Amino acid sequence: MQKKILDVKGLETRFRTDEGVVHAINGVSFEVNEGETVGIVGESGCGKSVTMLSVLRLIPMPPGVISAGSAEFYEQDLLKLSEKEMQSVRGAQIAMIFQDPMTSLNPVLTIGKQLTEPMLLHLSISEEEADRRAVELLEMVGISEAEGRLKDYPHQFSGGMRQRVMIAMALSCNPKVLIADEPTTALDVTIQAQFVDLVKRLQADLGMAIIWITHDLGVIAGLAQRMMVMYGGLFIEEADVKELYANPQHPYTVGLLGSLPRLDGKHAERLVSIDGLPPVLYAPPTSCPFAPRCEFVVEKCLEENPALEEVAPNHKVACWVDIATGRMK
Amino acid sequence: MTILKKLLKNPTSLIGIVILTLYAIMAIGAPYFAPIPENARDPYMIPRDGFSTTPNPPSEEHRFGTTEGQYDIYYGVVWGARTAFRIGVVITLITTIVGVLIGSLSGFYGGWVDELLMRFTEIFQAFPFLLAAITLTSVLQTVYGRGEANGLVFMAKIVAFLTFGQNPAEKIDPVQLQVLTGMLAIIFFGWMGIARVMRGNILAVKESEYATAAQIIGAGNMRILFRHLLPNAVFPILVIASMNIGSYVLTFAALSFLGLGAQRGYADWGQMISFARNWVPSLGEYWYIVVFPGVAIVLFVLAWNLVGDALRDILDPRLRGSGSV
Repeated sequence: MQKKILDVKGLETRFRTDEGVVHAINGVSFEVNEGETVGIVGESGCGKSVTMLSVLRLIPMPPGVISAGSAEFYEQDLLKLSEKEMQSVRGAQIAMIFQDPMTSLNPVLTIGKQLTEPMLLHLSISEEEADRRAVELLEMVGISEAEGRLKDYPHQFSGGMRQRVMIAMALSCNPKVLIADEPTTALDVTIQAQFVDLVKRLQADLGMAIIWITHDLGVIAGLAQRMMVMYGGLFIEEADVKELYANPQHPYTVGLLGSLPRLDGKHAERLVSIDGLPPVLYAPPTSCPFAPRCEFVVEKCLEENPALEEVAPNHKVACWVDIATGRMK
Repeated sequence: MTILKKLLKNPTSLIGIVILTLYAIMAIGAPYFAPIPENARDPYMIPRDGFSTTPNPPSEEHRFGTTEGQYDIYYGVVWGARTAFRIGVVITLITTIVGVLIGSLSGFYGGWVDELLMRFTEIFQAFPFLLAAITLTSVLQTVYGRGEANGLVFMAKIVAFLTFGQNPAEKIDPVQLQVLTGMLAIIFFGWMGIARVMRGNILAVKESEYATAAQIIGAGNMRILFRHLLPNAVFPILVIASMNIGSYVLTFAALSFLGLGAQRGYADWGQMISFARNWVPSLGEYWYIVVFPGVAIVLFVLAWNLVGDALRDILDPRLRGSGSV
């Protein structure tokens, strides 16, 4: 049994807006074990990033409020730490990289300055030593002539290179958890593959756990051990990767997988799309949030929100319907 | 480096830079161009040649003529360049720093901090600038004369140190005092525009991903604000600041003209023009008492505006070619 390092329970995040209180996260629970890769998938606006930013306590407050739940990192509740203590966790213990490498580096600071900043903040080392480590890090992520490039500015790097710099920066303090928020979305397909290989190699070398947020089911398949599907601020399905792809149980997951183009299909199939948009929840969900878009919808779906229940070993689903038969379980 | 190169390539800013360079040479070489007379109480006090009220036209001895009271116009114009640079640069420096600080904190923290600081800014903005400066100048002078109000004296000493290199431990030179009160008045009512622009800029860069990225590596608020956000937000302020230098000199000239800025006989262009007040009906005859200091002010302000304008075009390519905002 691997050691559990991050244990989130019943996390709820709300945003107070002029239109009302948006219930962005509605009681999310998950855990991350040492050295494993967890994938979180779902379409835009379903709460993937907000979940992670809530764990790091980086949602803008106000209007955001984390109204319930706990996020234990090595048995220490992150949601109860002081801001100062939290700062020593961010970057040092839990690091994060973003979707758009073009905008997540500061345009007026050199790569070297930005790369050494977390080390100077968290590790008690001299500037020379930080510079030396920065060169090592750049070489580790495959940037050649690293020493000369420390003085370059972000605009002198390509998108793929910048994402490499971002990950070098994230890993500079040897974090236990790396949160990757759609890191490949803004990259070319060829660069995506390179980047995924790089992350795999780095994980093998450094042994950090990765939480990989994406809406690209193709990228995550080769990377994660466990997957969680998110919808309307809730996890609606959770399973091992192979199980989820082979045997999806929630209509939403089925829809997501159906919308993927496949090369191994017997004959040309039409791509399936899911009609409609994810809901903006102004009240806690009392019915299944996916019900308005679901083809299997039954009366029960509109009356009560299903909880996550185990349907097979290591496979949990929140749905009233057995999609194989189309009837209530 | 590239900004300077572009400034030198642009014809408008080149004219501005040439004029400013000439002024700088004039200011630095003032003792050479207009030697300080022996027994002078203060080099900034214009030497007089008699006490006759009627101005005298340009002559061998007084190249630009003399004003009412026989103050030498040439000496005043040359030494006035020093005064103009000192006043313009110091007022701009202080107002810019105050404005940038208040605007940054306001935009960065938002919420009640923003509310408080911006309402405070608006109170200052509600006063008509010149009227407020005039009132404050007269109040400051009286207050300082009575030796009260330590806060104001403290501020006056800071300004004196920045403007004249005056040792803060010593008493302020009475010749400089009137200049200082005028400057303080302009500083009091001059920082709000910068604060508002800075607040907006910070609000814009605060939402950028690199701001979140800085939070994620565990940087504290002050570090994020001053290391990551400020350098990205401060550039447009440079443009406003360079234009402000000219306009502050103009405002100070207005105060001096009204008798509230520099004291009588001080080498300040606005003060020199105030000598012409009594001769307005016969300026055809006594043109030199207005033209020389007047041209000095106009060219000085124009030069800063040309540089500021070009700087804006260079820093903001979206405005290129449109000419005005």
